[in-house]
Amino acid sequence: MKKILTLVYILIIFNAEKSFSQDMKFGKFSQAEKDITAVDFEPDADAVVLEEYSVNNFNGGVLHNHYHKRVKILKESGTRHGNVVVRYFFGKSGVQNINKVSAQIVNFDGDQEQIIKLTKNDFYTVDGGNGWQEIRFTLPEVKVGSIYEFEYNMQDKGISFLDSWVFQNRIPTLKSTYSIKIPSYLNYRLLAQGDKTLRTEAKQYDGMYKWELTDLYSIKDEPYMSNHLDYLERLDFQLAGYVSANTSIVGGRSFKDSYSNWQELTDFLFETNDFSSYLKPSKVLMTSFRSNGEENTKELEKAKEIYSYVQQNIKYNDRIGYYPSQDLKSTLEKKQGSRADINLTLLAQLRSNGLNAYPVMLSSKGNGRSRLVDSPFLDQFNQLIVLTVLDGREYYLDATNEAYTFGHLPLIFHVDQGYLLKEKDAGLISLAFHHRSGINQIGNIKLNENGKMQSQIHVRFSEYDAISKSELKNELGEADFGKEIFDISGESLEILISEKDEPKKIMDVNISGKEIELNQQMLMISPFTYVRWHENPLKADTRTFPIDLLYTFNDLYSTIIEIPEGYELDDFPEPVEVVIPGNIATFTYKVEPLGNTVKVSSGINFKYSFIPAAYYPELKYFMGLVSSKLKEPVILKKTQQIASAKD
Amino acid sequence: MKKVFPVLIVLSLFIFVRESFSQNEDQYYSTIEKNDQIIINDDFSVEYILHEKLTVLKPEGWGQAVRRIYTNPTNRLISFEAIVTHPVSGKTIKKFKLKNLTERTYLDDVNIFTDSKIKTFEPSGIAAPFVIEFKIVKKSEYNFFIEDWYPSLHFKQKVKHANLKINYPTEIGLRYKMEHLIAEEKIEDIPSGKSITWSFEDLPILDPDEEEVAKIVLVPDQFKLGENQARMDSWENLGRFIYQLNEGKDQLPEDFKIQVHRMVEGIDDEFEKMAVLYKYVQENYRYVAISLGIGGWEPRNAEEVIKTKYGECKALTTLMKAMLQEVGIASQYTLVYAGSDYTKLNEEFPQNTFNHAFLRVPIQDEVYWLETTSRTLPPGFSGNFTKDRQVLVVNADGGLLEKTPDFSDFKFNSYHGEYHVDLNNMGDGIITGTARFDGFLALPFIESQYYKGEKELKINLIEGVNANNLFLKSIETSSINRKNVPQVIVNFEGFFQKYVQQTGKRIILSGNFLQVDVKKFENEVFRAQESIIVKLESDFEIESGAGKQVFAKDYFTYTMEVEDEIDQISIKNTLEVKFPKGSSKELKARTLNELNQLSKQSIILKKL
Repeated sequence: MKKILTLVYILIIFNAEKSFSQDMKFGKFSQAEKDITAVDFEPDADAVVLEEYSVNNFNGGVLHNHYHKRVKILKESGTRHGNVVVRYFFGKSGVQNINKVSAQIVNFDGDQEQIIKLTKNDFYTVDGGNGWQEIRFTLPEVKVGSIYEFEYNMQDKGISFLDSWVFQNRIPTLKSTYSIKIPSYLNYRLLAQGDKTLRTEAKQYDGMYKWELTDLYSIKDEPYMSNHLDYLERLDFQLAGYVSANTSIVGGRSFKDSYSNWQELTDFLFETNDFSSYLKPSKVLMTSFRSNGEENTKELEKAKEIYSYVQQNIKYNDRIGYYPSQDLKSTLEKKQGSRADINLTLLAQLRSNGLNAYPVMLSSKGNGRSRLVDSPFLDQFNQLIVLTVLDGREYYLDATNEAYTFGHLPLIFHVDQGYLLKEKDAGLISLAFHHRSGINQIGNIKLNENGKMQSQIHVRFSEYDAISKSELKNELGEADFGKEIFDISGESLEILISEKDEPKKIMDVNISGKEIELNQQMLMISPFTYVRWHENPLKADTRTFPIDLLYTFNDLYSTIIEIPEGYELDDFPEPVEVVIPGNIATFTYKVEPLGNTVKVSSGINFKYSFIPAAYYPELKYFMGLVSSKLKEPVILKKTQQIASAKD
Repeated sequence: MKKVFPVLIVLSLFIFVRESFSQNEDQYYSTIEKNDQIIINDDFSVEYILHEKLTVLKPEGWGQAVRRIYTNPTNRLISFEAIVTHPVSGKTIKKFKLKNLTERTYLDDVNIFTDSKIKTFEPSGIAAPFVIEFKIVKKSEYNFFIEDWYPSLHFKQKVKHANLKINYPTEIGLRYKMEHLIAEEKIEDIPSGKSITWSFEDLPILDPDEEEVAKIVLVPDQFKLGENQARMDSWENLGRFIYQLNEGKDQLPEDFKIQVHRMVEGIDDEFEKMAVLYKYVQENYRYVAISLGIGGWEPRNAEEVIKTKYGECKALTTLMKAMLQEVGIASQYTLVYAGSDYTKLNEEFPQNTFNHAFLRVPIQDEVYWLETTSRTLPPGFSGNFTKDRQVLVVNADGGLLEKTPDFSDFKFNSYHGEYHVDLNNMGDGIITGTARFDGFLALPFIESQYYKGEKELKINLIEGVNANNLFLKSIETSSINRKNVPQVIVNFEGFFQKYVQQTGKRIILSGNFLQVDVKKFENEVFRAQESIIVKLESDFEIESGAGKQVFAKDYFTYTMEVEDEIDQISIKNTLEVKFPKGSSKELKARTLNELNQLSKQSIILKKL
């Protein structure tokens, strides 16, 4: 069912030296470029990238890049694309540097071309902080039909991981080209991603490799989509090896591979100062660890205590990353750190208490790499968590957020694979997240002491549903939270909330519903006070990217209505049983009259949380059906009326 | 507004003392002691000499030792020193100087570039508990804007002691306003003019639920900005200054003047002329903000905007004003604090508290407001960005305050729908319809028409009527503005999943197609009118809901008229909602609940 992206692993070694000439020349336009007024495959587009290219050559250990981009404005709203920002990483000492920036805009009046070139004063350099810089400029006289272009040179000393090349832009792109010439003394691994990129063979010309893609859709967000970056058409290069002088080998040179396997990479990381400070903490630092020396304490209990301790005592500074930002000593002193710092601190403390614990790197949803390449390519990752095996069961831990109880991870971490770092047998592993999330509503509607019909509802949110509700409650406060989730704003109804973390995370909400007077001939009773979707959450009629609901769940709704004296059950909704093709989800609904009670029960079960776009129409219909069905009423009618009707 | 008088009497210090209890140390992460001084010099420059002693008690308070200082070419950081000592031994742990600060450009969502920078200090390598003493000196070349003074800017911080002393030349003058603080100032004569001192002891910890933060607002009477010197002691004088700043910026090139006249040739009506010229500005000039030097206040001139085809709000407004002037329509450059975080102006306390410029255009008995940075708003309709607030209208005589419309008129908040639904036995419907959205309800469509496309327009309709089960086959929209009221007409065809609820014996319809939500009540009023024909496949009879029903409640009147027309049902409904100004969210939500109970399950059909 899941679309599988096949990723290609190519080893590229070049020898030839010859320059590569580009087709697009600054200031020279084809008739087609002048004539284009709309994009066939994206007719609503208000601007289009006519062409862009990136040409890359090495000179020693520096990558020299020449970049050129050309954009045409198709509609009035497209003039907003006249501001340009070029971002690069300068670091402390010019890791990347940009120069020879030029830009111009051309407006056409019949055969006449009005060209406005930007001068030096029109380019502003902005310091974005943390080593990032930007060159910003705005084009004058942008209007419908304008074509603007700009180019620059970049020198990049950071050649272990080359900048990704993404073929797409925020507007459609007619042609995007990436060329690279790699000298014989360097060896790069290539990661290609995206349907078109994978189907495109690189053209070779005198040692230069060139990928050219055409007619590319714009990058657009959609709701329920956490990882659209995974679907971008892109190329990444990682340094796999370089020639080193070695006189013992004939010719005096040999290839030094950077990391040929995961274990090598792991060994390298473990030897770094920051990493090793957590793996081999000093005895002095260990005195500040949480320790539980009690003999009979189970492993799981011990681990939970340590986890809780780290969560509460070290503050997360919102910095992500797979590598620690500081050593253990600094983390313990400052009592704050990045995700990697905090989780490695957790690891250190678990280990010091005799529990096993291993770092796991992963690429969270939205990072662009939730499907990993089985090659020691470190740039794939952006997060670090901990794996521990306790009493025979695996747990994945992230101690940065107190809302997440032991064994629960942020939902964007629910990916298929991670990189397990171990002293032996390091490598990619499959990740499985065991939980039983869902909503369980049990209700009872009957006469109260005031002689009115009233519902008493108990709703239990479990695991990830409980976590999300708990976070919302903390954000809104208890009173507003109750109103928000029960859609009873403005009504002051009794709500009681309780939460538990053991044996699993749950939130229980008890609510007394509104009273219903019995002075009506017909009582229309909605059986369910709280449902997952009050309305269909999917509004668009088409979908480009898969839908990501983030986690699977199983909801159960059950209400018993006690028919008051003087009334009888007259009518109720018909049963339903629906399955989305591929067994993605099921919905059941039934009504069971039982003497003077009526039981209404329903279930929603999503077996898959990640649904391909091809199933979108069925999913939208399914959600519409569910949200409507759960609102259908049970109808009670006064018996006197029925008796008189019989007469 | 408080004026300072030359007095000889030294007022006794009145120290604000809370009930004598010691606050639980668990409630805060740090304590602070401040002794700050502000000196306004004869040349209108302002020096800030800040001396603070921060005691960070817990690791969570580490962030409170971070300092961010905003600078630009006329506001400089002169010196910076931070000495960290041990809280018990007093031993110096580390010293930091100016060179330890990192610097980056100040970036916001408005300016493509600005010469403002942020210098940041972080006490790296220091762990709590620690004491850090700051000595910071800043200087502004001009006193046009004097920084507000805060005893504390952090929650979980205890102010043990905070002192502010401000010296200023008498001729320049100073006004001040305390917000959420109580203390009597001590005023003294000094050789250079006057000195005012405030002292605060043991202030309550800031409450995160409180939106207002304690501060002293400082405003000069006389000020300088660039080469300009003026007074700010009245709105009139402030307006006069703005007028002077803008003088000469509105000159139009001769050929452009001819073009302007040509655009309105044959049009007599002034509103129409304004509409044509406004549309021209919207279509031809885009909003780009570049803020350099005192350029935050001084607009680029109209000629530059014409040449480059872009400008910031001040420049676009100046251009628009000049174009209207050219065709004989007078208008006024107006300053406003735009956006949703607007706080009410204190009329008695003139100060520069504006972040945006737009245009006031009086035509006959009406006043219209032109938002020149918008490419989609109709002429004379300025929308949410600047609604319902006091603004400073600027003209040659000076400035005066005026209020912008609150749009609490039905014409800006109404909707009309006509629908035909062919229902099948599953309760699904094939639907054709025409919906008209007036005022604010039309804006999402207008934006999507301009910036996006059909996919977004469909979503706008689904959201506009809250019909999430509507699958649209086709949609056609047209904008027909009625003078300054945006209006959009939407024609569509589609499939409505589960248009009705069903039980074994019955079909239950809602009395309205559009499902009202609280957002519709944003401007306190809302009007809706619908006509719906529902055709059913199978035979039925109306069990309840037939005839005319009128529900007149506290804040709304809802009428519904249902007729059985053999194989179809005709439903006509009207709704008028009107809340008192400033009604709470809770009241609106309760009213919505009441309305939904009446309308949602209002028509019951029995299957025959």
